[in-house]
Amino acid sequence: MMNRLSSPRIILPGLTGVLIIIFWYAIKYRWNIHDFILPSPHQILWAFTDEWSTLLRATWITFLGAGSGFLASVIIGFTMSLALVSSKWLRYGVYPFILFMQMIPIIATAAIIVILFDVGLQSVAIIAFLIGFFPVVASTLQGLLSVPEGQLEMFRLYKASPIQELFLLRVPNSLPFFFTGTKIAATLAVIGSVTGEIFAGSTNGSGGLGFMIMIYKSELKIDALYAATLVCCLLGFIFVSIVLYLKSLALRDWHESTLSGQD
Amino acid sequence: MPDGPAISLEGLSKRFADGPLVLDDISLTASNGEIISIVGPSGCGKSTLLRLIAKLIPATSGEIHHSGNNINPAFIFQDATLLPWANVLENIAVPARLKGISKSKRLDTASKWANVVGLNDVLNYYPRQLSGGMKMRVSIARALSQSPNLLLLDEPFGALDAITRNRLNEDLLRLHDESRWTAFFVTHSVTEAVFLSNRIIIMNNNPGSVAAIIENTLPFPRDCRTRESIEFQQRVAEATARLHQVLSS
Repeated sequence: MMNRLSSPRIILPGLTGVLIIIFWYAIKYRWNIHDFILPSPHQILWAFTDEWSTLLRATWITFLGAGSGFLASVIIGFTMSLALVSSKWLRYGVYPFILFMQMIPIIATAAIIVILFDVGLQSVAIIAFLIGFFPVVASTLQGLLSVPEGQLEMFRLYKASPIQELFLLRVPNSLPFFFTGTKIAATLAVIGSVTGEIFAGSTNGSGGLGFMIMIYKSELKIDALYAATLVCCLLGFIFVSIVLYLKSLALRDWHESTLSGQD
Repeated sequence: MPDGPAISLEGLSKRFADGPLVLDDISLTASNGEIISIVGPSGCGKSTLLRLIAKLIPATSGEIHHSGNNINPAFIFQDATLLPWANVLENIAVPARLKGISKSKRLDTASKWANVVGLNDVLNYYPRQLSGGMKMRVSIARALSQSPNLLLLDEPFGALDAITRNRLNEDLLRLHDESRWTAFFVTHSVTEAVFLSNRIIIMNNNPGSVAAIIENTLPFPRDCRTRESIEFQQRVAEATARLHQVLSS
């Protein structure tokens, strides 16, 4: 559709982007800030073209770490939520520890994981997993528990078994919540794996984006450092887009959040 | 199809945990295929009474007896309690699905009942696409698809506009003519109670108890013309007066 390009949903973010770039140049030249501190947008663009192959390889490695950690956090997190909702004792016993684990700063987690599992992709993936696991469990569990009382009564009236209640009522009810948690996990997976790589990404010269950020910093390639940071954002954006797409596929028929103009 | 069971409640009381007495010594009977309306102030335990009769919750004391075969209850809630992720047909088929009836068979039955309640044009619609009245029709079809002999209705039409409400009342009586279930119908509307039921139970609160029983001799069959009759208006006026008298004493 032609008029989609002229819709405020496209124009307004574009306008904001242009304003940010103008502002950037304005600040740089008003106070004459050195390229080592704040490179110009066009310099970052040149850095992209110069470092193209390195950045692409690093992005692929970060994608592997973040992707596998993210998938694990979704699968294990969802399974864990099913277990927690099925047993009150398990919920009381285990959930506080899941909460507690989440309070450990990600940098500290990263340091510990590297000590435990050595440098390399496996550590990066575990860190991405740990940071995404909690939002998935917390959201999904809330969705599994917050079934309207009337629907529960209806299921009981028709003598639904606990398995039926779980899979035909609680699980579908939890899906919008699950996708909210998954969206957060997708953002955090990239942040987590880049943080992880700063500690653990240096195996045989094939580092991810986090590792390259460290290298560029030590080589004082500041424009490339900005470029790598930008790629991290793009990668996170792609992860979230995939989740939002899957969400719209799963919920489009029935859930309010997929009505047009709400996302 | 045989008539619904006769039901008798004997000295039914209910207390939740250590809370106050919600229902105190409720005794009443419903004969085969009778529709009993229950009216009373909010919080008088009407809904709790229905849940006791449906055996959704246990009574603290007292007994429920019934005649004839096993009771096969269906409940119609105030909220339509539809599953938002299932379309009209699948929602009607939920009880059958829970019983493990095969997909083709249960969807067959469901479409038959959708037809009965006038939903054939919206079989693939999701609840969010339906009006309040249509949702309630789905809920009615879902309940009746199980061929219940006892129907428990907890203010099912309370949230609907008057026109829709009247039409659903008429539909309900038409369906009752065909299947003759016994029914307990909780409502806030005296007009609705007079239109639908053989007897009207007026309840008091704190704790919930039976304050009065009004025999409603308005003749069957009743349809939309019934509402226009002087006799109907008179019954409504009498029942309303009785309700005020009981509740102010």
